[in-house]
Amino acid sequence: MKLRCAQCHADFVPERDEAFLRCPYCHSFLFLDGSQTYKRLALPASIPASRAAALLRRDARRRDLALPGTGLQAQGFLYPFWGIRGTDLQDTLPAFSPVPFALNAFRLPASKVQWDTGEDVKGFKRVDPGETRSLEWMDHPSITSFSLYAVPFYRFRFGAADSPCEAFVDGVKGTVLWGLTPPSSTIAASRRYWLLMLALLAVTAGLAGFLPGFWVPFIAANAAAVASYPLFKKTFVPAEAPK
Amino acid sequence: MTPKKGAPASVLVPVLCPACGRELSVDRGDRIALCLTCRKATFLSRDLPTYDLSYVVPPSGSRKADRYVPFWRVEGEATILADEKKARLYAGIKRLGDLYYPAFWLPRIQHFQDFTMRYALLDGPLETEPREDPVPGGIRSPEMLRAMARLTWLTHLDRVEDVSGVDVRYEVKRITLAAVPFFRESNAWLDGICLSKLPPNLF
Amino acid sequence: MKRSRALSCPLCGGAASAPVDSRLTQCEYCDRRLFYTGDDFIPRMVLKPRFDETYIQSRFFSGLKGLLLPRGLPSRAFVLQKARRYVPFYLLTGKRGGVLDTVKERIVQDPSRGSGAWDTQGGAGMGGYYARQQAERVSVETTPDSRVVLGDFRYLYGAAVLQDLDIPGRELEDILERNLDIAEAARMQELSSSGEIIEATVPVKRVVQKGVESWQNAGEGVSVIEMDVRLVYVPVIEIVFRYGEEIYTVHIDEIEGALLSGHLPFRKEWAILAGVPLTAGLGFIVGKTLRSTLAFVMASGGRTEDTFAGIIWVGFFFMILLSIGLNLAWLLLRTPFHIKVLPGGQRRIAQASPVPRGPFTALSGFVTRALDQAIRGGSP
Repeated sequence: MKLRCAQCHADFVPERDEAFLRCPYCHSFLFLDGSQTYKRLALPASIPASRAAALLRRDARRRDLALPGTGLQAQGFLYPFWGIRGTDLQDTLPAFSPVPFALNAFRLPASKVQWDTGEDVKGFKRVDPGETRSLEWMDHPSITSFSLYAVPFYRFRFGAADSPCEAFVDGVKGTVLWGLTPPSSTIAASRRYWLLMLALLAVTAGLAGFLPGFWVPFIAANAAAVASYPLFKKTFVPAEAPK
Repeated sequence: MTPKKGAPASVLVPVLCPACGRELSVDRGDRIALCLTCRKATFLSRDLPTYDLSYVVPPSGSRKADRYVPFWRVEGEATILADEKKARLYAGIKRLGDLYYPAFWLPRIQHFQDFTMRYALLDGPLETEPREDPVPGGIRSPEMLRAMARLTWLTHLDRVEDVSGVDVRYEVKRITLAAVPFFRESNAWLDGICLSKLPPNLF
Repeated sequence: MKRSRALSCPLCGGAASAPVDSRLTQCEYCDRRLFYTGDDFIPRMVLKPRFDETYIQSRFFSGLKGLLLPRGLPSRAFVLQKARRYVPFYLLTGKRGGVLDTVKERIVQDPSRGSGAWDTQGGAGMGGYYARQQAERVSVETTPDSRVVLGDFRYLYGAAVLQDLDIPGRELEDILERNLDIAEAARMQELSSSGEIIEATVPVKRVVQKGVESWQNAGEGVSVIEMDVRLVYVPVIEIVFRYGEEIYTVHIDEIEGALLSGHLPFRKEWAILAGVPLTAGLGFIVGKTLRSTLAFVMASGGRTEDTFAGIIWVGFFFMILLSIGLNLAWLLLRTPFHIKVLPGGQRRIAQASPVPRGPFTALSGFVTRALDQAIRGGSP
C-alpha cells in the first residue's frame, strides 16, 4: 500500500499495517485515516479543575450572572479540533459533533504542543473525531496541510433539568466560553425589591390600620399598589436591550 | 492491471465486467451494475455474481417505455408437500409462473406488494427483447429470492386452504435481471405489464 | 474515527479511503473506479430543506410574539448564530416472512340443548329465560390454523442522543415518517458545507437488535428475510439570540416549518402584576388584624392574660403571613422564569434555574415543617 506524507508529500510504503506511522523522508510522526496522513497533536492542560471553577465564578460575577452557590462540578473533556493551513488561510474547525454553541468560535491558542499518542489523560474524557467533520474541506485544493489537536476543556452544567445552562473553560489559557447563560443575579435589584415590598406592606398596613371601615382602606391600599407598580417594574424588568 | 490470483478477496472490487473486462455501468447508490455489451447484470459484492439481463416487452403494444425498472426474475419448480386431502385441493389451483421481485428500493415499497402475484398469475411467460437502455436503481441482493419464492407459493396456497402441516420445496432454476418497462402519465406511473397506476413521485 | 485503516486498490496497491456517501470510490493513484463491498457501509439519505431563509426568519420572528413574551422582543432580540444541523435517524426496511400458527374460532349452535324451564339465574323474568336458552345452545369451537406472513417492515430509530441539544427526537421522527417519500441520496460533502452533520453515535447493531426483537415478538415462525439499513438526515435550524444579557435558543424544522423546541424570555410584568397586589393585600390584612386585635385588648380592660393572648395570636399570625405570603410574593418576582417552547409551537412557563434564597426562606421552611407535623399528629 502506498501513502503520501502530510508533511513533505513524499510517497512511501509503510512497513507495517498501523495507524500511527513515521515518514521515512522527513521523519514526521503521522496518523493514518482513510488514505490521508496527518499529524495528531495535543495541547497539555495547564489549569486544574478547581482553578477553572474559580475562573468561571469570577466571569459570572463580572457579567452579573447567577451561579449556584455549591455543586458546580467540572467535567474534563479532550475535544478534537482541526488546525488547517492553506495557501492563504489558517483556521480552526471542530472535529466532533454536535458542537456546543460556546465552542463554535474557539480558536487554537498559541501554546506548547506535544504528540498525541491516543492514550487516556487523567481527568479528561476523550471525544472521538467525527467521521463527517472533515468532509467539507478535506479535498479543497487550497488546503496544504492539516493536523488534529486534542484540546482540554472543562464543562460546567447547572440550572433546571430541562434547560441546563452550560459554560466551558479552556484548560490551556483559562478562557471562559458561555453557552446557555443563567439569568442575571440581580442582587442589587433584590435589595431594592425588599425595601419596596416592605415599604408597600407598611403603607397598606398603616392605611388599613388607621382608616376606619372597610372600603376606604381597601381602595386606599389598591391605590398604593397601583402607584408603586412603576417602581417595581423599574427595579425588576431588565433594562430593555438596545435595538 | 488485474488483481493477483490467489490473493485474499479485497473489500474493494474494480467496477469491471468479469466476462469482458469493460467498465460496468452503475449509478451512485446502486449495487447492480450492467454490462450492456455482454447483456449481463453483476451484483457488486466480493463474489461478483453475474446474471443475464433481459428487457420485458410490454404486452400492450409498441409504446416506448419512459423508464426501465429492475426486477429479479426467478424461474423455478415448486413441489408441494401436503397430505392427500390438501394435495387434492391444491391440485386444482393455477400454478404460479415466473416470480418477479423488485430489485430497487423505495422507503415505502408497499406499492409493489402484490406485483409479484399479479405477474406470476399471467397466462404464459413474458416476452423479452434485446435492448441497451439504462436500468437504474438496482440495489437489492438476490440472496433472499429462494426464501421469498417459497413464501410466495405458501401465500398462494393459503388462499385456497390453510397451510398447517404443508410445506413447499422451491428449486431455483434460473435468476435473471428483468428490466420492466414503465410509462409516465400526467399524474401517475404505469407499469408496462398490468398497466397499474402508481404515485407520480415514485421514481 | 472508523476510517483509521486505509484500503488497498486491488489493481495498483495504492491507498483508497472507505467511502462515506456512496460505495463507489476511486483509486487516487490509478484513477480506476472501485466499489466498496464492506458490510459496515450505511447508505445515507437526506430530507432537503423545504424553506428558504426568508421563511425561516419570518417563522422565527413571529414566534417571538406573544402575551407571555416581553414587548418589543422581535426588534430587540439580537441573533448571534443561525446554524443548520442535520439530525440522523436509522431507517430499517426489509422483508419479514414465515408461517404463523394461529387458531380459528367457530361459534357452534346445538339445537338439541336447552330445557325451556324458567330460571332466574340469567336475570329476572323473561330476559333471564332467553339468556339461559342462548347460553346452552351456543359454544365456541377452536381448530388449529396458520397464516402465511410475507410483508415489508419499516422502522425508524434515533441515531444520536439529542437531549443535550434540546431537540425533540420523537417529533422529528414523526416528521420524517410523514415525509419519507421526499428523501433522496445524500452527498455528504454538500451536506457538510451547508450545515453541521450530527454524528450517528448509537451503534447500528443495537438498533438492528431492537428492531429484530420487536418483529420476533410478533410471533414465532416469522423471521427477517431481508434487511436494509440507512441513515436519513433531517435538517433543523438552530437560532441562538441574545436578549439583554441572556442567551436563548430556538429550533425550527426545515421540512414542515414547525417550532420544535427552545427557550424564550418571560415577560416579568406578569409576575409583578401578581406580586404587587399580593403584597398590598397582605398589608391590608395585617392592618385590619392589628386594628381588631388592639380593639380587643382595649375592650378586655387591659387584663394581662387577654393582652398576652392577643400578642401571641398576632405574633403567630405574623409568622404565617410573612413566611407564606411574603415568600410567595418573593418567589413570583425572583424566580427566574423563562418560556419553554414545546413541539407544535406550544409554550409553557418554566423555571430556568433554582430560586435564590430569600430572607424568609428558612422561616417558611420551619413553619411548613411545623404545620406538616401538626397535621400528621406528630408521626414522622
